[in-house]
Amino acid sequence: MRVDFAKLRFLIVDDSQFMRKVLKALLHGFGAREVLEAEDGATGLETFMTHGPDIIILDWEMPILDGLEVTRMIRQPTTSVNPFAPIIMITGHSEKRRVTMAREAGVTEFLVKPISSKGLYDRILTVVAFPRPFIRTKNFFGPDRRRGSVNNYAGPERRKGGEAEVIKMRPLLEKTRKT
Amino acid sequence: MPLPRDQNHQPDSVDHGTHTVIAPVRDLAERAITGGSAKDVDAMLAKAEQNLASLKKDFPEWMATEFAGLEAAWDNYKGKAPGSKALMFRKVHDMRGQAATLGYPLAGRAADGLCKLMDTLAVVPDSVVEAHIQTIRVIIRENVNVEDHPVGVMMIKALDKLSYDLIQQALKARG
Repeated sequence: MRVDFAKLRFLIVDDSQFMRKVLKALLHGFGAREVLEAEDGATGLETFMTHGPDIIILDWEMPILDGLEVTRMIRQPTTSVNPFAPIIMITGHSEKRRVTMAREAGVTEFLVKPISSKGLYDRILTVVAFPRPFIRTKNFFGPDRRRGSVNNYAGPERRKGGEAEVIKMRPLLEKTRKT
Repeated sequence: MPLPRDQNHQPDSVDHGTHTVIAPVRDLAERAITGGSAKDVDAMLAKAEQNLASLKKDFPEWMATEFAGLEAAWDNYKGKAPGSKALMFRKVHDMRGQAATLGYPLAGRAADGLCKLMDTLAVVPDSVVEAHIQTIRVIIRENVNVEDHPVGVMMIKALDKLSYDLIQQALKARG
């Protein structure tokens, strides 16, 4: 199984012309033909609304609108041309807090710089071949933030929105004990 | 040529009261996933690497341009120009992310340390910022392209120590 890049339209939004050149070189190497570029968040959003790219590759720190703000606008179900569009955020931020912020905004995949061809290919393969379900709550619309199901999860139930509700689960150890 | 997305197509969804789960949209997979062996993927990766290698001759010039932008932002920040802190953070962050991709991993580490300080402390002393900028300047000027360059590593360790002490002091002051 592989991705046929010639059948996809990409949008790179990064304020660094050099990073855009690097990303474009990699995408063309994979076989992509249509690679659109924008040098700031506002232009990126406009290009997204006008050209409807299939996959957005987005930087975090940018002038005018940053990557999180662009993501939130793309994920507006009533106004966006494609609120389901996969967003791959490429950034130097690697702190867990930052990754969580990106997920909360609706980012699909996260790739920490330095960029490698393998890392980029793998993220694109993931969003194309294994798309995640989307979740809509009162205050979130975006890809399911859960990577898998945890049977003994005892933390707050974020999907309920508003007040956090703790769902108590029996610990696994207790479950395995014979009664 | 990519096919236009069917705007009228609505994916299946299940309403759970508190949240709605919308089935994965598989239009990209249907359009762009194709058969192929690991060898085909390796060939794609090799072509991408080849494209990247063809850009490498320009990396020193790109880094010099990026560093000039960082220095200009630093001058504004020192002069306390309006909006200069946000611009400075963005330039340091850009350096942190790009330096390793452009072949200067130790410059990336110095920028990473400064980024973390700016992200953690309300005020980073000018002398500490200057020390980080100076290290990045030397690494680029001396074209230090490897991660284990002895002098480069020594400079990064000195910055790490400086940052660690500063954060400890701030924590102590907070009680």
